[in-house]
Amino acid sequence: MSFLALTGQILRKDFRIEVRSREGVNTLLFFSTLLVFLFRFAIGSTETQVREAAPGLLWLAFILTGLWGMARTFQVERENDCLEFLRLAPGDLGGLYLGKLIVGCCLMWATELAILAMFGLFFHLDMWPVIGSLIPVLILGTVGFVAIGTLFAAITANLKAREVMLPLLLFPLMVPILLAASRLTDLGLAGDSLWAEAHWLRLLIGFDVVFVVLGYLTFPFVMED
Amino acid sequence: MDRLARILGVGAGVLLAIGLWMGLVQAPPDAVQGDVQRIMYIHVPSILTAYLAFTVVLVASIAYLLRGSRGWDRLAHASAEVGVVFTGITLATGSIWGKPTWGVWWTWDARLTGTAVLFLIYVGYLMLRSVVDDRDRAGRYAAVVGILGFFDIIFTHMAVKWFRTLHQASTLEKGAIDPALYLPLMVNLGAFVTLYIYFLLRRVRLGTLEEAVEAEVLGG
Amino acid sequence: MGPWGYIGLAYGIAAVALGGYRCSLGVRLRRWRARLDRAAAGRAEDVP
Repeated sequence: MSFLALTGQILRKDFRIEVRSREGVNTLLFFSTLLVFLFRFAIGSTETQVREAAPGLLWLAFILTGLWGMARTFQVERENDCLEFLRLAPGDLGGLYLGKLIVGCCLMWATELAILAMFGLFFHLDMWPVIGSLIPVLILGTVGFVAIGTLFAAITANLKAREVMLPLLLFPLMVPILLAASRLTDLGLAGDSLWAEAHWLRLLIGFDVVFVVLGYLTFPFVMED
Repeated sequence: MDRLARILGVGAGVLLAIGLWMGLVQAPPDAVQGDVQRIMYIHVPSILTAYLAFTVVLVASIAYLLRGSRGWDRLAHASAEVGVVFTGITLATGSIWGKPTWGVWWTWDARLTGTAVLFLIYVGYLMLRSVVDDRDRAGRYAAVVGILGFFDIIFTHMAVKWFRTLHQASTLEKGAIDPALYLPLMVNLGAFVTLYIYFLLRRVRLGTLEEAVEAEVLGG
Repeated sequence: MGPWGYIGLAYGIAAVALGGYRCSLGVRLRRWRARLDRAAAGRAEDVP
């Protein structure tokens, strides 16, 4: 079985679980609603404060919900003792990584769109006119985040201290994404072209390529036992 | 190995003493910054040594994943620990240098921030090692983090540079430094690198001992 | 604090960190050597 076949199987399995239980999307949505509420209370009430803080807060919300989403991708497998069987899957385990990467990205994108809508609603930001320039940022930023997040979630899934270790390992590596994506989001919200600061775009693309490749190459060593 | 370490230890001590004298006494004060600039003689060598240490972590991690020999893993672990010590020194001396130069102990300057991230990544690396009981597994997990962390730092440095920078240009960039300050810097760099190799050998030895004890207890 | 105060502080912290790490390595090495000796001695006793 080629590695893409394994990727396809994982995709089918995880999407079926999600469609039947809706556990991931539901909890992520509820969690992100709470976050947006808390953010709004925390930053004060004037519209300029809100507008200035919005890009950073948006990405903070994505990363915090994403942290939970990442932890979940491998916890479901561990709880049902499925990791042992996944490990024995025929073919290249990198395919398993790609499958989990795609599942994670889709889950994140869905949540991110919902968070955007809530930001628009609660922060009085008109998202419709700028959505076209925000979507590329969401796509690029999320791939890099999930590329590392999936790998580290697989590492920490087996640890006793996994709740602490995952953010401890993951957050420092997210600094480039957080800086690049919130800067680009700021441009997007202001209605400017993302190409005005193309170096940030190039950084995000480079980050995504490097870490997806590294994740694909190192994932089999994480699963080995 | 023990004898080599001892020789290196003595050598590092001698070089450090010479470097200390050159940096504090022999070198002239900086034309712009005055005497405070003498902090550079430990600040710059310690960050360069830390980069060397983390490059060794990268190479040893890749070698461990490909070959699976315990020696590479012990080398990676040792180098990461020593690298964290040198990164800590860089942060502390940088912060102290920042106070008289910029007026604050901490600023969100690009290099300072980048170095702080570097520190956090490898502290995480060491913590991960400490929470995994099985040595081979800890080695594999840590190797993955060591490899990703190294590449991430390259991106972090780019990102924080565009984010904001106050820091003077890199000391070793051409023309940035007077020859009278260059020699003391090089001597100190030599001292720090020797010290690094000395620490590395000792730390690897410690790792070997730990594994030998484990083997005795389990095998005996 | 004058320039030499900052210099003293920086060099002092570096010296404490490096010296401290050296001591920590020394202590740990000694402890594990002793453990190894004990483990080896224990095994020698077990085997008649």
